Amino acid sequence: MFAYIFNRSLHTIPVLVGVSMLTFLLFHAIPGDPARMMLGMRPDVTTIEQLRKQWGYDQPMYIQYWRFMKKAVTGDLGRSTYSNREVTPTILSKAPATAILALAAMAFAVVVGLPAGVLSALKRNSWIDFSSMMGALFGLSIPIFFLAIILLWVFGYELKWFPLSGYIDRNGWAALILPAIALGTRPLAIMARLTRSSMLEVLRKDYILTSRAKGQCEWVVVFKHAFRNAFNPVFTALTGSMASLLVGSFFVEIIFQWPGIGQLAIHAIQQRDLPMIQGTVLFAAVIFVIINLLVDIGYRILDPRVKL
Amino acid sequence: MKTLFRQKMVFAGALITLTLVLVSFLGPLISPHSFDEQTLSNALSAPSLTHWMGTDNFGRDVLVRVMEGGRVSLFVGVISQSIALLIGIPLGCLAGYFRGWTDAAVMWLINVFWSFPYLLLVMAMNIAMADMFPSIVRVFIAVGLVSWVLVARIVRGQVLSVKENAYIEAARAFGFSTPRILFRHVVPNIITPIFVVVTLGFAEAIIAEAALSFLGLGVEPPNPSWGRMISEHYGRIFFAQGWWIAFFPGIAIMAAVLGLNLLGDGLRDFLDPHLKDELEGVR
Repeated sequence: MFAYIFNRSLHTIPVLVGVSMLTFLLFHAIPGDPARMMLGMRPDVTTIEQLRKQWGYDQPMYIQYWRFMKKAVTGDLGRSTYSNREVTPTILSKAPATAILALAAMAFAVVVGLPAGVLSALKRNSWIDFSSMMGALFGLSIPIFFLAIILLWVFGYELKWFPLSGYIDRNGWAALILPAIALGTRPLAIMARLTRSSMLEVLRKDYILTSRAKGQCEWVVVFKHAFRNAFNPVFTALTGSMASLLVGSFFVEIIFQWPGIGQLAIHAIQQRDLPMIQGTVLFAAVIFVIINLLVDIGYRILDPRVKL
Repeated sequence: MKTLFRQKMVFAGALITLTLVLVSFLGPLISPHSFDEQTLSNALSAPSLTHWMGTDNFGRDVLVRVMEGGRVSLFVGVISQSIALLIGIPLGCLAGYFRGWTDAAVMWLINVFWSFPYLLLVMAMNIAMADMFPSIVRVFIAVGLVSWVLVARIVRGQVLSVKENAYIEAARAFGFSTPRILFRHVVPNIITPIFVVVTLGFAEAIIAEAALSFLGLGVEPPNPSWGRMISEHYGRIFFAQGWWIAFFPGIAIMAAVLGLNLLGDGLRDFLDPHLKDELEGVR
């Protein structure tokens, strides 16, 4: 097991190097160089030259990358060109809000999506199956920002059930509900569809027939035998969903004024604050690689049959 | 029963998609209004017989703007998916056919791109190209440069299984060149999954364009875009001051994406049920 964890962790190193290279290339190797980009619409040659020197953009590319990596490994991602605050601490200070939102969204997706998928599979081709699969398709088709707007309109402005915006520190946990639903709907849809198809496949297996033939109650058949075996692909889908959660949070955080990484990133984009944008992109990708790693290891622990 | 249902889904999806294409391209030609024609005296009028979706704050007809926005979305879908195919098919073929170092290198590239959340990478690429291209071209390129990954992954997996077939071995025995084997014998046999991936990728591209425009990174005014119409006017939905301006573009995005998803899902289940696992977890 430890050999596996060690090996799998080693595998992430080339990917992480690639991630850092791609991030670096995106923000450094572009023809219109970063200094110019940041100055936006008022290109003043002397200012550009000054900035280029100050940030080392006049050096050869590999030297720039080496410097960038040396700093990045120690967690130094530079300073915001807008507020002059250090990028890493700023991102870390916003991370808890996004983590809470993502976890709540995931919980919503699992609590609603799993039962919906199981029920659809058990009652195949019934109205329950049809309506939950149509619902799932709807959840995959609605853009997250439009869903957030509609939720806020109906449950915030019209029905006044939930606070319109803000964080849990001022408005209590009720402020978490609408953003979590908005963010969790897409993973919910994915989860329900996957659980259904995975359950359908397992329910056809011989051991299910055997356990039914033994006269075990349906509850045991479904949850002890079928669901446990159907769960693995669903578990894998959790990773895919985590990625969409991170970016989905950008839109949800803007609309609900949730003070997380998403809001930070969007503001950075609006202010052309390159080090901050670069920092959030790199942070999101690294988090994603780590989650992937953890899921793979968890997968192995849950299902010893899996061999890499 | 199941096949019938699936066929109905494919049919519904195809119908929605086709309607959308026709309306987006023919609608603006037939409509008496143009998308940038301003009639300030007629601003913010509610949906009526003359303006089916009402008018916006400049008195422009919302329906025509939604149809015009549809054109933009469709262009983004077609061009970005073409870019994705141009990169994804060759790379996927190389990786699947040659294995070894080529495969390792391509897989590394795929894994690196895969490590970024889709929309985040699209946004980052878009920002990175800020000075190089006009906004709409940036959207095409950014979405295309990110979407190739899914194409390449599916192609690689399909090539791996197709190349074991006897007819490929026969082609090799005839001494055909590798490009000829790949493009004349391998690729035609994996067209179905590629088509499915592109249909679903098209839907993702429409969402991506709307998302970029919502953040102000997409199509620039006065050209209409669904995402921008929503982002500029969604406050009106809350305060009931012209909800229609942001509401109808939202419905349009949903309809377009729903149609493409129905089409893609239906085709996938109908033609190649094994693709399901490969595609589902990644979206």
